[in-house]
Amino acid sequence: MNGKLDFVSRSQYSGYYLGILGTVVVVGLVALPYVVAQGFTNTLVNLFILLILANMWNVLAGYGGLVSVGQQAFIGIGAYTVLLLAQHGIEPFLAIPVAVVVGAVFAYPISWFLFRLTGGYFAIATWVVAVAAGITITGIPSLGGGTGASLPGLQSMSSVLLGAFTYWASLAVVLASLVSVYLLLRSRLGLALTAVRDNEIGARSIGVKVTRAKRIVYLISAAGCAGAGALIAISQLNVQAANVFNVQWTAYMIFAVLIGGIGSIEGPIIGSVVFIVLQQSLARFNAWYLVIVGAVAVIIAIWARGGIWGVWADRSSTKLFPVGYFLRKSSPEGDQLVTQTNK
Amino acid sequence: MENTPLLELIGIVKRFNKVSVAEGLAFSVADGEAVGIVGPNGAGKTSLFGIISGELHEDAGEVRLGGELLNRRDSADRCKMGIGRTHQVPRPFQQMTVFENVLVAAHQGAGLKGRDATDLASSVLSDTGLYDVANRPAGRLGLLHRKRLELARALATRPRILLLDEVAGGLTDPEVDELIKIVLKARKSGVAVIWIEHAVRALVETVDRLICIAGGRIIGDGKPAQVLAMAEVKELFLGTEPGEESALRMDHYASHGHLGDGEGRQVSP
Ligand SMILES: Nc1ncnc2c1ncn2[C@@H]1O[C@H](COP(=O)(O)OP(=O)(O)OP(=O)(O)O)[C@@H](O)[C@H]1O
Ligand SMILES: [Mg+2]
Repeated sequence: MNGKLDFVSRSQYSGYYLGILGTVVVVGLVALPYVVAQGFTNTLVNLFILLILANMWNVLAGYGGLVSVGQQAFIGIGAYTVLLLAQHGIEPFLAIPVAVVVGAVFAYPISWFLFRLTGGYFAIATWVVAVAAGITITGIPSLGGGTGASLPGLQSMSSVLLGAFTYWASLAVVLASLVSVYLLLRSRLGLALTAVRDNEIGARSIGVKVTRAKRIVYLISAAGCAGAGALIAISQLNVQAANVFNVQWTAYMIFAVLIGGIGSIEGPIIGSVVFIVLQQSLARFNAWYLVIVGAVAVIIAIWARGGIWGVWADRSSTKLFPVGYFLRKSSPEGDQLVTQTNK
Repeated sequence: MENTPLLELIGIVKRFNKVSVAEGLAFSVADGEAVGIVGPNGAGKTSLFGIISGELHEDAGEVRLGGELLNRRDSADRCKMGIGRTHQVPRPFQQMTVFENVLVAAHQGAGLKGRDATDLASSVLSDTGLYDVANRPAGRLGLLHRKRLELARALATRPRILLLDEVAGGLTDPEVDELIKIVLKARKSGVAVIWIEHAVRALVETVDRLICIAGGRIIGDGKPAQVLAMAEVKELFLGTEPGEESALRMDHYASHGHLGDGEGRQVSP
C-alpha cells in the first residue's frame, strides 16, 4: 500500500509555471528603467528596501520568534560601512556585499548578549543596542558626527545612470534576500525553524537545537538589514545617524509584515507593496500616513491575524514559494497526493 | 557495563514553591523494558517526564541514560541521545502538515537526511494510523489524531526510550485498543517505554512493570497485578477494579475540566 511506492514532492502543483512566472517578473523588473520615468523606479527602490527589511523581520520574528525592535542597529551599520569604505575610495555599489557581511559579523557577539534575554526584555535590549550603536557612531568625527556625511564616490555619475544603478542594486539585493530566505526555508533547518514558529517546546523535544537555529536566523536578519542600510546610504547619497539608526525603520518593517502576514515568505511582499501604495497615495497628508498605515496594521492584527496572505492561505493551498513537503503515492491512475479518500 | 540500566533516576528532588513533585525519586528502566506510571492528579508524573526529557530542571538528583549523566544536556540533546517524549497536552506544529511534523523529528531527532528521513516519516505514519491524513495541516486534526501525532513524532526521533504521557487520555475504548497495538509494535522493535496513564487497562496490557507515584514518592513498584493489589495503591484508586474506568480517571476530568492542566502551566527551561 505504501512504503516503497511513496515519494515526496515539494510543491502541490508543478513548479514549472512558477519558474516561468518568476523569470518573466524578474526580466520585466530588470528592464524597467528603460521603460518608465525615474520617479517610478525611485519609488520602487523604496519598496525594495522596505521589502528586504520586512522579509528579514519576518524570518526573525515570524520563524525565530525573536521580536526585535532594534534592527535599525544593522541598517546603521550597513550604511556606515558603505560610507567608511567610500571615504577610502571603494565604489559604494561594491561596498554593498561587504556591508552585508559586516552586519552579520557584528550580530554574532551581540547575539550572545541578547540571547540571554527573552520576550519583552529581549525586545528592549535590541533597542538599547541600536541606540548605543547610534551614539557610538555619532562620536566619530570622521564619519560626520551628529550632522552626518555625504557619500563620496558617485558624484561623477549622471543622475539618470545613478538612478538606474541604484535601482538595479536594490533589485539585486531584494532578490538575493528572497532567494536566500526561500532556500533557507526549504532546507532541513528551515523546516525545523517552521516547527519552532509553531511550537517551540514541541520543537525542542524532537531534537531541534532551537537556540542555534535562532542565532542563525538572527545573523541572516542582521546581514539583510545591513544590506538595506547600504542601499539607503546609496539612494540618499548621505548618511546620518539620526536617520539610519531611527527606530521608525523597525516600525515600517513590522507594519509591512503584520499587514501582509507573518510567518510566510509571501506575506511581507504583499505587506510592503500595500505599505508603499498607502504611503504614496496618502503623501499629501504628510506624517498622517503613518498613523493610517499603523491603524491598518492594528485592524489587521485584530481581525485577520494572519494578515492579507493569511486570509488567502486559509482558502487556498496555492503558494508562490513552495517550501512544503507533500506525501504522494503511485497508483494505477497516476501519481497522486495521499488523502483520506483514496484509502 | 553489562548491567548499566538504560535510564536511571537517582534521588530526584523537585519542588514548585511549596508543592513537592519529587522527594528523592529513584528508579531505573532496562533496555527494552516497559514501565507504567500511575498516580493521582498533581502527583508529579508529568513533571517527572519534564525532568527526564530536560524541559524541567531538578532541584537535586541525577538522570542518566546508558550511564551518561544528562543533567547539563538540553532537551534537544537528550532527544538526539534517545529520549523521545509525548506531551500530555499535544504540541502539534499547527500550520505544518502531519507529514512535515513527523519529518522534522526524523531530521532533527533521528539525524536523517533526504530519502532516509522521508521514508522513516512515511513508515511511522503508517504504523501510527496517520498515513491517510499525511498532507493535512496538524491544526485541523481531532483529539485522536493529535494524540497519535505526538506519538508518531516521538517515534520518528528513533528513541531508545519512549515517554508516553496520557496518550490514551480522552480516547474511546476501540481507540485505546488501536493505541495499545501501536505501542506493542514499538516495543517489538526494542524500544523501552515509560507510559503514564490513568486508564490502567492500557498499561496492564502493555507494560512489564507498574510504578505508583503519590506525593512525589514511589509507593509501589513491581508487576502490575502486585502493585494494583497493594493497599496503599487501592486506596488511591478508591476501590475500582483495574480495567474499569477508574474513579481516579473520572476524578481527573472533574477536577481539571480538560486534560493536562498541570502540563499547561509548565514553563520552558
Ligand atoms: N511550572 C510549574 N509551576 C508551578 N507548579 C507546577 C508547575 N508544573 C506543575 N506544577 C504543579 O506540580 C504538581 C504536579 O504537576 P504534574 O503535571 O507533574 O502532575 P501529574 O501527576 O502529571 O498530574 P495529572 O495527572 O493531572 O497530569 C501540580 O500540583 C502542578 O500544579
Ligand atoms: Mg500529567
